[in-house]
Amino acid sequence: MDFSFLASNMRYLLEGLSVTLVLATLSFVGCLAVGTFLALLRLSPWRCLRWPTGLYIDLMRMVPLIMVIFWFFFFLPILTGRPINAFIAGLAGLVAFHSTYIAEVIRAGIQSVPRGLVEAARSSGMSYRHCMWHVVLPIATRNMLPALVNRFVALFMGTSLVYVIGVTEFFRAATNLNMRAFRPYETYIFVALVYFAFCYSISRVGALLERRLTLTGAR
Amino acid sequence: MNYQPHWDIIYQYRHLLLDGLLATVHLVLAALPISVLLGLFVAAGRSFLRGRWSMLSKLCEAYVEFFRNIPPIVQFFFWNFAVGLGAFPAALVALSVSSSAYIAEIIRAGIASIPKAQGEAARSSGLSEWQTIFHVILPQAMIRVIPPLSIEFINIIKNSSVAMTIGFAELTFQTQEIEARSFRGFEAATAVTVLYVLLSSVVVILMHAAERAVRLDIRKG
Repeated sequence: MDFSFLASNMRYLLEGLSVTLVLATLSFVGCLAVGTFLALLRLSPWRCLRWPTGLYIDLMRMVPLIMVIFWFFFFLPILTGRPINAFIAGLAGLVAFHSTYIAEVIRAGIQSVPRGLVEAARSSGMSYRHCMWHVVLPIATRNMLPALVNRFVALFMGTSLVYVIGVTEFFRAATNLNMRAFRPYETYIFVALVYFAFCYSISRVGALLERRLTLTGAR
Repeated sequence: MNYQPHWDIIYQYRHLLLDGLLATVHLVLAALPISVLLGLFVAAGRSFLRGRWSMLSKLCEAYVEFFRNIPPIVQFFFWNFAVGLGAFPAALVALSVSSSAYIAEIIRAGIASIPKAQGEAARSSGLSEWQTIFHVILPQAMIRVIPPLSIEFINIIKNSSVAMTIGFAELTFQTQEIEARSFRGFEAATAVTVLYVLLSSVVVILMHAAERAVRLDIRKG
């Protein structure tokens, strides 16, 4: 075991890691936006919005993330008529895939808000939009925070798959180093430990939030 | 957008698609029993080895946390390039081990959902510890975990696509193959996506049937 080649290429690895972190953060923000939108469509009073959204979410959850990433990599150039940046394609794929999971988390969060509260808000004169923004979403956010943190861990691990379209994030950076150094044991043990350190500590935060935020009586 | 899709490409490369489908099914069917067995062992270890063997229980917990928090692609590469297994064995080990961690967590939750009083009642009516586990707790827990297990089985199908990165020629690999030969990645991706949806639908239907069958079985006594 000789980890020195990793230490001497730390700069390169850190660059890869920063791409991973930026990709994870950007796609999580995108997922929250798209996921909230999907969840609201899914809970809409009109069946013509509810039904296709449900179908879309269920179908998207049956397709592997790699396929979704390939989809954007192949399809966006056709749509725009220009070659596409791999980072953008990866970002779009991650958002399209994970936003369906996050939509379900948000939907469950919204549905966990007691009906009585909504009815009270509506009958005291709030519009549907007003009631959503000021009553339902703040309470729902609190309830769904632990599940959202878990989805972030899944998303963080998912960023490693943009490797397939050639984005030099952390995993590809390490693989590139391995191709020169031929030290697969050290490389992949190191990569595994770095991912583990990130994912495990984030999921601990999720577990802590779950204990702190769960309203007594809600269980 | 003035793109003319050539759907006949799907018919032209049907052999590649069929080979890929068979390889995916082969990998998933091999990984499924291994991951369920591993998961069952780890879950049982975590749930029933609390007292005397708490070290083993802790070890099972570490197993779950470790493999759940490392991306599958890293595990595939580790077994293939570091350990030196061939593409299929490496994919099989990586897929089974990473899925078993999730399955163990599902089964553990199922076991925890069985009321403690049941175990106590079984013990006090003279069943041994093993009999209690095998005849009272596990059968009930296994029925309760069928719905979450079916989601995990779909995840196994989805994660099997990572095997393409180590050169195992399954469905997703064939998308790239067709793209490389014909520059028709869009049509190939569409066909493969439909095949994945069909595969997952089969799992959903089978697991629904399994759940119904077991529930009817119980009602009959």
